[in-house]
Amino acid sequence: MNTFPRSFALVPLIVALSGCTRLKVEPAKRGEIADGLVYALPKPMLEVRPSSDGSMQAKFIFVADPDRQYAIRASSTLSKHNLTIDITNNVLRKLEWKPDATAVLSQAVAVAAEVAKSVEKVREAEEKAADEKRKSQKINCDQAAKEVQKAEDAVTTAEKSRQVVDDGLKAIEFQLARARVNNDTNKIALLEVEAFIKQQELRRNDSAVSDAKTKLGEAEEERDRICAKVPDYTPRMATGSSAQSTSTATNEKPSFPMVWGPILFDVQEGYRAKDANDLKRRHLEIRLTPVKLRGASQPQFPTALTIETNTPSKPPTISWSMKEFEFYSASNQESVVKTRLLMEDKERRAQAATGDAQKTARLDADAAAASYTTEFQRATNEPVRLLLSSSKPVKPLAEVKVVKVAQGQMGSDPVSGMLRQVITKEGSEHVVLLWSNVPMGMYALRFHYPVGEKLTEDSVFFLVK
Amino acid sequence: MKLHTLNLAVVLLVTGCAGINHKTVPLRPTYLLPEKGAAHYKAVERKNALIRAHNQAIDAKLCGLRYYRPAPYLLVYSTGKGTVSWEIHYLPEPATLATAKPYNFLASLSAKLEFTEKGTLSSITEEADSTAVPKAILEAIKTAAEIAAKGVAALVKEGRKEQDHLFPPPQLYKVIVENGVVSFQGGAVEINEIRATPVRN
Repeated sequence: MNTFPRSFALVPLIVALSGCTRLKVEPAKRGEIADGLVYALPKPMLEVRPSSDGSMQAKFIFVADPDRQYAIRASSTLSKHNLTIDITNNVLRKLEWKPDATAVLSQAVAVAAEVAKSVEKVREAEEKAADEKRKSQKINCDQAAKEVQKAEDAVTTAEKSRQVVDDGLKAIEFQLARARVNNDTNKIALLEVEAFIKQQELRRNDSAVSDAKTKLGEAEEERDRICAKVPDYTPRMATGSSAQSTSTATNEKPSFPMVWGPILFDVQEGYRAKDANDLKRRHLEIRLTPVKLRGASQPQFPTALTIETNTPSKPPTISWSMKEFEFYSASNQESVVKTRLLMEDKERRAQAATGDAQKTARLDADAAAASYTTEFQRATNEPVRLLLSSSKPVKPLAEVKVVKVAQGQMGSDPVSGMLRQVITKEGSEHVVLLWSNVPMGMYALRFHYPVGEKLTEDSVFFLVK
Repeated sequence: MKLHTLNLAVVLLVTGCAGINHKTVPLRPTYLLPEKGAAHYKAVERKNALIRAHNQAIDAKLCGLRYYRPAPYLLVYSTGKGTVSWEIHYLPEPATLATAKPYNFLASLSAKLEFTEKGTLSSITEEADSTAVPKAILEAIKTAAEIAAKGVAALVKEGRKEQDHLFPPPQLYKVIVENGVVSFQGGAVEINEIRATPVRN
């Protein structure tokens, strides 16, 4: 009989000593102190992205809703629990909850110690991971700095090489000037060819310097991007093309073309009410409301058409082909050459797409001489160098002029100081070179052939570079 | 005999229990705000404040992890290439709040709850149930969606006449399946067109 009361008395004792674990989740109001780990329910938004190629993509994105936030709090009394929470972008993704309320008081101490240990372990692991991350970032930063150094060396080498060629060209030009004073035509022709070759070489070197600077700029950007994560890193002033753009920015504000950006729609679900009386009815409505940016539903943003905005533009490459050629030979007595050429610019569309140049071609013929005229328009301010050449031997051109075209009318006076002409010896590759720095505007190139000159297809087949 | 019965009672009392309680609570949707100048704007705001207070009171009484239940929505938009795209998306339904509350008493429990980025549960069968719209209903949705898509296609055609680089805005409908009948609600959009910067030719 004594066993009964003793057993019965154990019940409240065991229950009392048995622990309990609690997982509390309570609403966390915005702007108030939350007790626990806060997560938010997501809010769907629709991102619509129009593309310049005429297509459109739409996708849902989910952002944390600050009006639906909750705090998770776990506690144990005389028991143990294991809580793992995974929150990504403030949205709860995973929760593992392993409470164990079967432990008794004797286990509670061990549990507390375990918890303390695990907390310490977690802290140590976090510190170790952070330390490793810092080390890795430092290594990456150093590597990026080395790449920048390499790019700087490449720029120096390219500039030195360019300087050598430039010096050579200046020497040839000096000799050329002297030959002109002496009126030594053979030497002039030879020196002009040499100068042309040097100029070509200089252009290649210019391009190499430009490429090296672009690479340097990219390397610096990459270094700054990587090193920005390193806490004690101080960004250095850019030395390549970025430096040029910085100085430009301080002098004058560059203007960029604007493009339409994507639209972010807020997906709203609720009742629709046409007026105050309609508030009693319940018509469910789904509404897409564009999120305004700077007061606009669909904002415009500046962009760059090409990545080489700060590097010297390369001369346009335009190919010409003869579509139709009719040549009526005329005797010297008649002094009439009637030609009709239809030229087609193969790359006209591509050129227009880059906004670089628009070209039209026209052939004029009159009774006095065959004249071939091509008009071109520069749409940008960058100077352009034009190279015209024929692949087969041609006779020297009598006259080549560059004239300004204003309001559809060709000017009579050639544009001064823009034109140079080089003719190589017969038998080798015949080249006609026009070396011009042509500012923006409409121009015409006029080629006048001598009266009675026999024109062939090869005579007027030009490559314009 | 009496002693054995009492011991059994003691054992039963001490034996614990554990599990996860799920609860789904419908919330009252708020009213969509009209334009700011509208006569009933303030009335809608007042009404919405009451509804929010009501929903918050319900929310405060709940225990456990809150999550959304997914619901099917239809998104129709112009591809910009003479066709329209229609897609069924399962989005969180904001008017239905669900909770999962793990509990244990004198027992151990191992609970693992996984959620999607949409805030819906992904590791319990409920989600599978709710997303498993019967095939017949899906077919019905498809038919209805094609009708809705035709409407957008007409808009696309109309837009192309005017301007090549204007797009009609997308439309989002909630797919409501009630007593085996499918209907769409929604489609409102507060913008007339979407613009794209063309490539110069």
